[in-house]
Amino acid sequence: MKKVFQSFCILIVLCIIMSCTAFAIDLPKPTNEFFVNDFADVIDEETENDIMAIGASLYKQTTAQVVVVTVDSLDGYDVDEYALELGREWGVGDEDKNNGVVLLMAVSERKVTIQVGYGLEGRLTDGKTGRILDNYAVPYLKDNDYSKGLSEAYKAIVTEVYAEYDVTPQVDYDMDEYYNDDSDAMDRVVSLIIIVIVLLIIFGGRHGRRRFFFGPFFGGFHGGSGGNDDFFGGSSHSGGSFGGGFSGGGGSFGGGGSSRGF
Amino acid sequence: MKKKGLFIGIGAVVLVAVIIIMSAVSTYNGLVAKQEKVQNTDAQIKTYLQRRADLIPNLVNTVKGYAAHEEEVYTALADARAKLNSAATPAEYEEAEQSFNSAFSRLLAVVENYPELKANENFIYLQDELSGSENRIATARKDYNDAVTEYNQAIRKFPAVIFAGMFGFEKAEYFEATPESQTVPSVSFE
Repeated sequence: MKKVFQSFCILIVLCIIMSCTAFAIDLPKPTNEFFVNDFADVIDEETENDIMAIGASLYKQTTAQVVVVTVDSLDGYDVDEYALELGREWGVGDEDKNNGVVLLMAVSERKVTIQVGYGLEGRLTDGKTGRILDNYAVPYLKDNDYSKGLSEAYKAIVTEVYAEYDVTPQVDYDMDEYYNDDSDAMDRVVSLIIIVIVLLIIFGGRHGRRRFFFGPFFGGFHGGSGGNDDFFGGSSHSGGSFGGGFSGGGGSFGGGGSSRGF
Repeated sequence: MKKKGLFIGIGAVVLVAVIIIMSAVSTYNGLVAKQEKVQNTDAQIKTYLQRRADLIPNLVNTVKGYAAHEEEVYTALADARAKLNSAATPAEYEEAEQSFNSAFSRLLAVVENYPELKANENFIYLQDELSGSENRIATARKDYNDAVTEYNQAIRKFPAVIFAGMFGFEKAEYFEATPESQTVPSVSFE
């Protein structure tokens, strides 16, 4: 029985390792702000804070995640493909609801795209995202007013998401309240504990009854982790600081959305 | 003492048997899941092909409002769409898709001659839906190929290779873009 238990543990470890999928595109890691990732540094700070507040509020009320990303260059990739892979790797949106949206702008290619997670494709149809870009983003982006163009498009997207969930926005709220300051650090501590336990079971198990002490401990973990969507899924836990911030919930994307040149 | 040795012997045999059975079961289940994913992603591609084809009547109606006399193109598109709907085998699918793509290219060429049409809101909407479909198809094909890679690797690995042979898990075919389908009419516009 011990053998079986050990091989079971090895299997779990292997599964964890296997679940870290590699992507062809060399994608940036999300910032701690998560909703605003201004890698090209073209959005002014006030707008960033606005978007941050709106995005965090939407997330709090609906679990949907709408993310803005600016990059200098797409490294030769198609703008839709780049945004899609970004959404998938970052796990934008809830794991079960797949309610993430990526608004990506590439400065040197002068391209902008909205990619919609599976769960929001019904509300944010390709035609609608195209219209949002035409009406809210492109007119400003043409004049290099990136802050205005992106925040207007962002608001338009968020409005649609609120409508989808039939929720009234309550944007005036205390943002800090929703920063999950310690959960990120907790994730790391819990992962470390689990890895140590698994290693102990595998390598220390033969010394008699120690595993009986750890056994129930290990079993108890799964139930407790329910509230944390991206335990092993998100890439946000690799490296970086222990500080607070948001991260992806594990949502996925299928190619819905549209793009424009400007 | 003799009895004790016998018990240990039987115990060891039972243990080994249990381990083999358990690993067989989990390997088999793993292969089933991977095979299911291949089928699932394959079905997804067909769903999106269908979705794209279903947009065509609307698009044709919009275009007709501006270019009524391009009857030949509309007929070609309608035929291609019918073919796509009735396609069952992969070869039929490929053939239907090719004729669809060529008819669709012709429609886009027609559109080029009507600037007012290109500015029509309804037309822009349909264009977006179409290019969204293209993206979904491309993504679904990539996902399909990823699923096939995973599955094909799994059935060739030890010990799965033994069970794969026993239970008849066969290698899945990759989707390979034919030269024709690589020249998918691009639905981009400025």
